[in-house]
Amino acid sequence: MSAISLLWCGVVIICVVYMILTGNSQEILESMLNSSKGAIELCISLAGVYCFWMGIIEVGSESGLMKGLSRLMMPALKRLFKNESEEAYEHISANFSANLIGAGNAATPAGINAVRALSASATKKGVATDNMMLFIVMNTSSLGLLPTTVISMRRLMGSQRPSSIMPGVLITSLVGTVTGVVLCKMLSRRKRGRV
Amino acid sequence: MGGGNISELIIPVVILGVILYSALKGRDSYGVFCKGANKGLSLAMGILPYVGAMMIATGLLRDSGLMDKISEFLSPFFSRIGLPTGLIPLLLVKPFSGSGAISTLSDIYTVFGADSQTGIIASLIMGSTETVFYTSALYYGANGIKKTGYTLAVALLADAAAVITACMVYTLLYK
Repeated sequence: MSAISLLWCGVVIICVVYMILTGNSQEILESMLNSSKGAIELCISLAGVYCFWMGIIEVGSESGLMKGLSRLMMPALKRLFKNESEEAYEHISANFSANLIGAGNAATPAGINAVRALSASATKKGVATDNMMLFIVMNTSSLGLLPTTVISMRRLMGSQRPSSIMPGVLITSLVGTVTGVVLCKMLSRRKRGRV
Repeated sequence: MGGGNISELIIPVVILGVILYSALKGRDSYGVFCKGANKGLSLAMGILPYVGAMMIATGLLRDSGLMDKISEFLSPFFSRIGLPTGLIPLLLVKPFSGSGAISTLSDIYTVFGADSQTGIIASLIMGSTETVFYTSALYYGANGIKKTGYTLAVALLADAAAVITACMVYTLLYK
């Protein structure tokens, strides 16, 4: 059983038991049905958001704009991730440029390929290298330059100034990413020192 | 206020730039856009079951009153570091599930409003962090990597730094 499955079952079981014990059993079905109705409504508005942004992203990548963005970050990548194959750098930059414009779902295949290319230089199989850890940490702390999904959701849900979050997101994600990178570099240096 | 107007312009300019560049290169922009939009549609339908499952679980937490109990329990800690307690569901769900994060975010917008303090801090967190456990499980799992070293510890610390920064940024820029 996966962790997420365990968590989901745990939450549902505990809540249902708790609601029965507190005498709210008649509200259980109502709550669950309301939530799935809400999920459909949310996904319909998200479908509009995704259709639009995936369309724009497709236009951008087909015309070569995304490649240009990747090429711009190459020199910085080569300094950050030392001694990797050309293929690894390409996948990493494709993954980062998709993340930058908030296309998290377009970033996933490139991310998986990047970790595969990074594992080519690993000495032990099945063990994450420092560069892999750095790559995953930079992915989870996510460099949000254009948080397109969040801005679009804000617009749909009544925000007066949906894009006003952009400078804030930039600062926040910068602090998160720098924290992650610095910690990774410190830990990898300490590890190497020990060996 | 001037800064706000500039950020309202960035997205239209990006959209314009992308379409203009493609048009100038003589590409079939219309056909390509539709191809992408089609991917977007299947993406939204693909995440629907997950969003549904997550909304049912978080909805039960809310309607049973257990979320209030958890929030009550955590609120002294949250108010000490200046976090609004309305963020608790988002912070609990986000590391595990992106779909769950989207559904708690839309709950926050409905309950508090997208431009409220909680709504803005939630937007900042959502825009600047990813689902830690899911991302690392996916990227490592697909490549058969079992020993993940310090990945999770560092990723969660970076996340915590982003959350605290989001609160400070709110006070500095949006209050």
